[in-house]
Amino acid sequence: MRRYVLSRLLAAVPLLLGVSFLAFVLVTLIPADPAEVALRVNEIIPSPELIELQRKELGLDQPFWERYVRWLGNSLRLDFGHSYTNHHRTVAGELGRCLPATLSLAGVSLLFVVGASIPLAVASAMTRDSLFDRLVRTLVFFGTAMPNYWVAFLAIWLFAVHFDLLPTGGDEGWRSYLLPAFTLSMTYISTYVRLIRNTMLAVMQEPFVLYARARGLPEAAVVRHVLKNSLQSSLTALGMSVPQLIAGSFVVENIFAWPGVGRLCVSAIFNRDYPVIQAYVLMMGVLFIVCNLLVDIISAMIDPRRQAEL
Amino acid sequence: MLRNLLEDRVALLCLAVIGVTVLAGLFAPYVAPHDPLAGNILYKFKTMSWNYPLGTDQQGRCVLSRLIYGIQPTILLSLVTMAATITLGAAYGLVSGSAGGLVDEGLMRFCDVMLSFPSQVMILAVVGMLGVGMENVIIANILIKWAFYARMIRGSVLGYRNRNYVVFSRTTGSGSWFILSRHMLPAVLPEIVVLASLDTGWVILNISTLSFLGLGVQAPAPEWGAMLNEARQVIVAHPGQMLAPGLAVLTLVAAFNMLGDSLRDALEIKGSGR
Repeated sequence: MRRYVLSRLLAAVPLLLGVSFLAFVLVTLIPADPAEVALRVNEIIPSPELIELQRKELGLDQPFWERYVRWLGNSLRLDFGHSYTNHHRTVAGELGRCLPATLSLAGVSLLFVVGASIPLAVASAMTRDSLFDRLVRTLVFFGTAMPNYWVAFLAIWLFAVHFDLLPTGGDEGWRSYLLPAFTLSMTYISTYVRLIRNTMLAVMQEPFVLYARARGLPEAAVVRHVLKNSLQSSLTALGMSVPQLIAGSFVVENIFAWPGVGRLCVSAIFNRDYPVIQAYVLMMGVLFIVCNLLVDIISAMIDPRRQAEL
Repeated sequence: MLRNLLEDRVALLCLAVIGVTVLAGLFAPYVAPHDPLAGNILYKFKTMSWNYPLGTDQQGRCVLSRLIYGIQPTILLSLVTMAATITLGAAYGLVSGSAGGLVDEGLMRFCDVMLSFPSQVMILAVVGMLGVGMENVIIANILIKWAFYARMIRGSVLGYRNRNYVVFSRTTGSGSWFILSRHMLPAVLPEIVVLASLDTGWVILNISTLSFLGLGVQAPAPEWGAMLNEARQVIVAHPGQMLAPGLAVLTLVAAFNMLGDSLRDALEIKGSGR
């Protein structure tokens, strides 16, 4: 087990370097000169001397690799520099301020995903081809084809405007979590209901289920065994949904005026605030790699056969 | 496979929906009843009528015409995106798979890095750095998906490389290009078609979402996501404005997804040796 964890950790190092390089190199591909942008966003009219000064200040006059190494070193210490639009604010501080809102939204959404998909999938698989099953399958189908920002709209109109039950946006207590979390989790619920239902139907064909029934186990016990054997494949996928929910929240955050990192990043895009975008990209890339690593290690702990797959 | 598909009514319906939509998009100037950009401020928020089949929006522009003109940026651009993705992925995968050795190893490690970059972050990164606009959205979408296709095609190339008929062809002196294009490509094509159909739906959703956020197609231009963004501003007074573009996206994405599912079924029937 220790060897497995070590080798996975080592394999993650080149990935982390790759992601950081990508996040860095994207800024050098900017069609405009970052120094000029940094001046313009503060409504300073750029003159050649000012641009030269700004380039020095941003360290843009140094060679590429030197800049990359310095940037990487600073990033490791969580120093992402200052925002272009708000000189007295650090990028790290901005991200830190917005991160809790995104994390709590993603957390509530994850609860929604687990809480809704498992019961729906089990009920649907147990009553295969019944009216309920067909209804669930239809909902699942539309759940993956509907644009989730549109669903957010319909929900805002119905619950916030028409019935005036819930707030339209912002973060004002638990009631404002309901609509954004529902919108964010909808696609995932659909995916997992489909996945768990299909795995359960496949598992139900296995000999051990027939044996359990032949032994006269109560149906509830049989379902429990089937579910236990079906959830393992979903567990890996569910682990990877955590970073997806965190990174994918930018659409929902924008619709519901949620004060999270996704909204911060989109407004940074409009303001051409490159350090913020760069830090966001790096943070999310690292998050994905770390989550992937954790999921691999956890599933290897549950199922030792995986440790051999190296 | 084709016959199975033709017998499948759902698949035919999906093909019909997609075909009609693409045609309407290509011939938008002839099909649309009005100019999508010309508003008549005296006729705003009209309900359905003969002159304006789907009514008018907040600037008095014909909703149906805007929907029809919106097909081009939505479907046609996503088809372009998919074509580019598959070409790039296929070329990369074929080279990597047939080269083998260190080249293959290096190319695949690069693929791993690309695949570990999550799609949402890739979009924000590319659009964020290169600037807001449709070209960059397409670049981002290609960057997200190509590595996936490259890896799949490489896998199939490795799987087929030592099949008897390929080995036979090689011993009779066929060139490597001939083997790639005549033996390998047809073998992986069905799988690519299924994936491409499912992914097209995904790309359509993606383009419309980004246009909705204002990162893709820009506001006055008719695009379904951008139309929804405009409808958002009048959600309290005129909630009906968000119905038509949303349903349009839903129908089209559903058609591509269902088509992909049917194609997969058709393939599996063939695969089970019937």
